[in-house]
Amino acid sequence: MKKYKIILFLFGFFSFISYSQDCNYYSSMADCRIIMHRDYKIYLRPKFTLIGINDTLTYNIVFNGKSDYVITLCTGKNFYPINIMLMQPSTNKELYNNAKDDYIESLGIGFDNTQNIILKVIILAKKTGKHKINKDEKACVSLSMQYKPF
Amino acid sequence: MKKKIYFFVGFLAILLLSSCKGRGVDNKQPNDISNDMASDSNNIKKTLRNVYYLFPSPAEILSAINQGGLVYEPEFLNSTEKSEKYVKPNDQYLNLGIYIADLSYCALFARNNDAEAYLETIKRMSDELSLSTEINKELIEKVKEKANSMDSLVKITDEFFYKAVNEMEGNNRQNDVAIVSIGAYIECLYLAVNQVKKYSRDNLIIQKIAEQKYAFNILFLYCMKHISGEELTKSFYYIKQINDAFGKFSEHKEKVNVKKEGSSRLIISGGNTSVATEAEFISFKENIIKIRNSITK
Repeated sequence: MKKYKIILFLFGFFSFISYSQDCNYYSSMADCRIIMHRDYKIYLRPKFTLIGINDTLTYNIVFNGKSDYVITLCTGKNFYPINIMLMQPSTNKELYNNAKDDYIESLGIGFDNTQNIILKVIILAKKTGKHKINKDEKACVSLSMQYKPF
Repeated sequence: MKKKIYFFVGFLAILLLSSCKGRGVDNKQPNDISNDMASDSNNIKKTLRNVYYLFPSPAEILSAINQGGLVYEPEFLNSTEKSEKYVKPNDQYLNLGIYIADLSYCALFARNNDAEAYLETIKRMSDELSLSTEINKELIEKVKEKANSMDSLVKITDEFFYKAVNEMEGNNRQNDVAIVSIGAYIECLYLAVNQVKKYSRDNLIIQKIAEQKYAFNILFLYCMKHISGEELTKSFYYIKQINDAFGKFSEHKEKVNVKKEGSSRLIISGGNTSVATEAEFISFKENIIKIRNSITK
């Protein structure tokens, strides 16, 4: 009977590993449910991505002019803070870095003109508390965006 | 007892393996792609592993152009009666994209009667291309429930597009996502350029069309990342032509300014803007009409 229990434990453990490698269900697993802002609509599709600590995720996005956007990043509680950078693709110039704002995870941006922006995201995992992060550990990151015209 | 344990372990192993996604099962094999191209493609894929190109849905493209004031002109839609003629997979994927854009256009103007015909066509084509029937059933039910509401219909068509994209990507069918999206984007431009009967420099629709160059460029880069197979290469030729045509528009260069408002709000102004001269726009319009008609013929 004990053997059955061990086998069942192993089965459950490996199932969890295979499940956790896929971020598709992340919105329901973590506290990353999308909270809609008043009068805003979802922009593009929420994106869930598995990434290593200190690796850089790059999103290439177009934002329409005369519109307000809310960009929200989210990850597991052991992997904060999240470093968010906005770059101009043609010059690779950094337009904004959330390190200056204590790594806020939700950012409102108003665009006067339609712009192509590169959004760079790095999971820093410095607020791990008692949880010790393995350098090979991977985190699911969710990106969601909302918009409304001015 | 031992036999029972072995049986149990075997059963669990099969269960575990069967829970893995069948990635690549539906994927077409690029038999005729040259080794050099496959190797280049692999290098690009490796370099761009953590780079994601988030291109807007056809409904989002049309909504953006609609800020310039589109009007409903159904004569420019691709007739659903032609759908039976598209038998080659490449033609089916491209025209599925065309019909999704047409559905988004009907939705934008809350034309539910017209939308239903496109919905039926999209359902039939999606079934033939092994896209989830669950999505289709759900979509049709939603449209019937929420008739006559523009916002709902636009939201539903948007949901359909992204669900289909997610499902195809989940099954490693990025090639198919690229071809469907190319078809949809071409149709969005086709519907928009036909609204411009006479050029004027301050025409807002022309300005909004010119701004779509960023969305096209993102789709172009997505195709570059996932390019493989002869079918995608053929469709890629269309998007490359359009991307090049956008590149011919004049560009008004201005420095990007970032202003901070409070602790979590930015205002980004300035930046480059595309401006089409009359000659540039006429040439662009002719190109779009030619490409679109060669797909839907």
